[in-house]
Amino acid sequence: MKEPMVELQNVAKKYIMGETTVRALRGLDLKINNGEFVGIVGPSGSGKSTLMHIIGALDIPDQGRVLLDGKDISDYDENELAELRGNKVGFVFQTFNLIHTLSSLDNVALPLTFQGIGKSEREERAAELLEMVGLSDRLTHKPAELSGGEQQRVSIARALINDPDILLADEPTGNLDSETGKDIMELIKGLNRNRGTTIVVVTHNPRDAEYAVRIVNMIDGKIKNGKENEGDN
Amino acid sequence: MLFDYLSLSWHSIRNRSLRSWLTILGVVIGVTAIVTLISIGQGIQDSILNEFDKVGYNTVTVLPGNFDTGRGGFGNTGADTSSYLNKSVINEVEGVKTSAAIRSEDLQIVSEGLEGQAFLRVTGMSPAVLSDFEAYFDGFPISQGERFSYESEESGVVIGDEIARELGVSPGDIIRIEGKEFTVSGLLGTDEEGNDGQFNFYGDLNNGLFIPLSALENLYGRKGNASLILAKVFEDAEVSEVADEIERAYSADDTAATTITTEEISNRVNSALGTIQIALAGIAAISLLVGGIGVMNTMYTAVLERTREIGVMKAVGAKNGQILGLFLTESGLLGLVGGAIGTLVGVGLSILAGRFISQALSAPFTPSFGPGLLIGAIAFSFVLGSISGVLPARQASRLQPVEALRYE
Ligand SMILES: Nc1ncnc2c1ncn2[C@@H]1O[C@H](COP(=O)(O)OP(=O)(O)OP(=O)(O)O)[C@@H](O)[C@H]1O
Ligand SMILES: [Mg+2]
Repeated sequence: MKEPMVELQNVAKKYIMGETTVRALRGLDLKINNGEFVGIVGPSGSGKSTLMHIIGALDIPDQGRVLLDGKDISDYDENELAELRGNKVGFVFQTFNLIHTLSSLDNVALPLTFQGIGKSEREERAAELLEMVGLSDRLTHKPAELSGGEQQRVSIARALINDPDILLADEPTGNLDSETGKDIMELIKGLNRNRGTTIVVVTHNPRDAEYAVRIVNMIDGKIKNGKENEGDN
Repeated sequence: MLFDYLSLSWHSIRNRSLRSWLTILGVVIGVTAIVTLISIGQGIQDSILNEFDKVGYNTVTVLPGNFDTGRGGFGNTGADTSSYLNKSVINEVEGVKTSAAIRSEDLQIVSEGLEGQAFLRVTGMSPAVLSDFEAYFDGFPISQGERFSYESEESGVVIGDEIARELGVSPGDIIRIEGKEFTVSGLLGTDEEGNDGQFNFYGDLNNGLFIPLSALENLYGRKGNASLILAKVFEDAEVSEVADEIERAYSADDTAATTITTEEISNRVNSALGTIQIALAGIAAISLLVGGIGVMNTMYTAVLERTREIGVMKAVGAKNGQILGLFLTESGLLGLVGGAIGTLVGVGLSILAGRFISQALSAPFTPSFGPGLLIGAIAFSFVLGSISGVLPARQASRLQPVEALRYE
């Protein structure tokens, strides 16, 4: 068996807001293997997004250890975490989070700017990815000039531009109609199949969850059980 | 990378274009004020210095009496204070190359255009005055007719144009000074070379009457006396030492004399102008400071507005230093654009103001823009913008990515 891409050991995270303390994650263990397609489901507030942030080096746990591609990143400083995100992780958000002043092409190319990669190479790779997500005729459109589904495709292209080891999508279809949502899930599934990218998708939608090979069920900051999906969707 | 920062900054500046332009306007006003005031001040200083150059730094003015010139120099207390100097004493002082004597008296004037009589200041000039010290009188510019003559007995008189109007005379007319007839040979005004007598070291030329010193002596006696002596020092001599020597020589002659060198006059004028310039630049600097605060305010707003964007950039791998650089570039760019526009407007404004000043003074005047001023103003605006952006940019760079992404 391959090395796990992600390994969480006894990870906990709490938010203190004045009097009340919210324990978003309560000592959680999780392994995700290289090339896996994992779906995370669970009720609102169960800690799914918090978990995603910790897997993606966007946030650090209060307790426990986080290993990404075999490396313990628990003690990384802000710059090391940023570097890791820039090189190994791709994020897709429910609200797309595109930069509204930039064109599709510039939005997709943006992560490479921070890696110090030159403009022509950036734009070439961004154009390739936009073509892959079916938007080769929308390169100069600003986010406001795109449909929701198109915006999410742009954000998927952006997440892929650094050729990430792991793609993290937090409710990627949450703001889309079911038909468009299906297209997006197909696109993500294709990435997993064709590129072998490790994928973690948080979703509320049972139909989306069907795409995942393994389902992780979260309740109250803990993993309840995991189950393998039947079949070979 | 810098180019990428610039391009990203440009996008966001354009996106908030009205607010960006208002912020830039704040900088523009400050820079315009500074460039205008400094270039006009410098222009005034330059044209004055030019006059000093024309007069020559080896020129010494000798006045009767005892007063402080700031040089310290030779105190000749105890000597007679008279309103005259013996004009031959100066010729014995070593280091003096040439000298010229001037004497003024208030004399009775009668002319046809004048009812009754007037007592007016008549100045006698020794021949060397106009041959060696012409610049001291700003060229002694004649607008009509010609100068009085040292050659003939009938020397004629040169009259300032204002007095000539009051006396109702023009060249060729005759006036009487202390009963003696003088032909008006010329009027002072603006000559063919553009000299207008505005900037002369003597005083108001428009209100005087000028004749040869010998003619004045013939009218009024007291031969050998001068009320003002001009001296030129040899090029290799130390001007202030010769000036002290002149005071000492008059003291030995029992007359109190005070000398002023061109450098002393120039230093005084310069320091007075310098003080005015510093005061004006200070006022302009306050408006620039306000411009800087405007940049800071805009940048704080930008950081708030773009919190999510900052979160996104961090999520895709931007380091704190890169976010800092991005926002500093943006604020620096606001300053730079403001500085460039302000410098242009300032140059235009001071050229306009220069024309206005020229007309008001009826003297040619050009504001002076050194490359240092122009480049300095633009560079300073960039630095000002960047500095104003430091605090907001630091706030942006320190945002936690997850919290920034959550920001509504
Ligand atoms: N920055 C924060 N400050 C305070 N509490 C927080 C913060 N972030 C998350 N929480 C709390 O932590 C808990 C887990 O939040 P999280 O966003 O991970 O839930 P989720 O499973 O993603 O929910 P949803 O399905 O609604 O997106 C929630 O109770 C939430 O209120
Ligand atoms: Mg969530």
